[in-house]
Amino acid sequence: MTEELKFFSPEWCEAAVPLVNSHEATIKGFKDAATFTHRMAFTCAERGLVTHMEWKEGKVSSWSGPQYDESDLWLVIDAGLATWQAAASGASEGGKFLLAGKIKFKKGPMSAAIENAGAFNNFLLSWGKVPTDWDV
Amino acid sequence: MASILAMLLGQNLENYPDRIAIARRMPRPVAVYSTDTATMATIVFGNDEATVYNGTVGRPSVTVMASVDQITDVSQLKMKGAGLLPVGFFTKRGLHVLGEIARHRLVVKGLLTHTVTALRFIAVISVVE
Repeated sequence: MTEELKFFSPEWCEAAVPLVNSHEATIKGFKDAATFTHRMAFTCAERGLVTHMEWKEGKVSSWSGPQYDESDLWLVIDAGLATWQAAASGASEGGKFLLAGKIKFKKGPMSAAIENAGAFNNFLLSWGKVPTDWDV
Repeated sequence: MASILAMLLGQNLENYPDRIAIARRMPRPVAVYSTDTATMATIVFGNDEATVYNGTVGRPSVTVMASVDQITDVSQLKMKGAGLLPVGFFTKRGLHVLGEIARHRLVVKGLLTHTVTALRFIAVISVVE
């Protein structure tokens, strides 16, 4: 049986990278994957969880705990644990959670979410492939 | 819904200050209803600021009733000529939006009676330069 990894732990982030990068729908969902090179944070503030990731040309090159200065982050996106879990399970799309105010853009251009909505939705869906212990 | 619209509008007016003049020409509120999140917000445009409220406020001249995907599509339509030249409608995405309107899957109340306001609204929320 595959060991479940604590959500947003360094091990979870590491395990998610190849799954995200092999998720064809995410890559196809970018407006222009070749120019999508950014640093961003995904957080679950209600549980005190912060992760930082770097995208290079539409692929995740690193994802781990906090490692960048706030000023280096292009986007900071936060949601509650139940919302992240629902998005990962496909219960609803990330864009819908965003519009409903359950996923919050703490920093960064809204245009990024709109133009890359397909990638965002599928990126969150790819989290569902990681064996996850949601009890965090 | 209101916070997302407010963020989008604020960032757009900051990135494209020429659209402030378009927003000033919108005398009556515009409302947006997201059909798949069942949330509504109203934007009230003033001379010096625009305010986004949750729910319906005032008497909106235009009310857009659309899914999240449709709102995403509409906000990627390019508009020129102070919002009066909807060049974005003559694209694959724009034709899709028009098709959704024709099939009443995307409803724009006031489109025929307040066409200019509807076009200006798209111009102020469009993320396209």
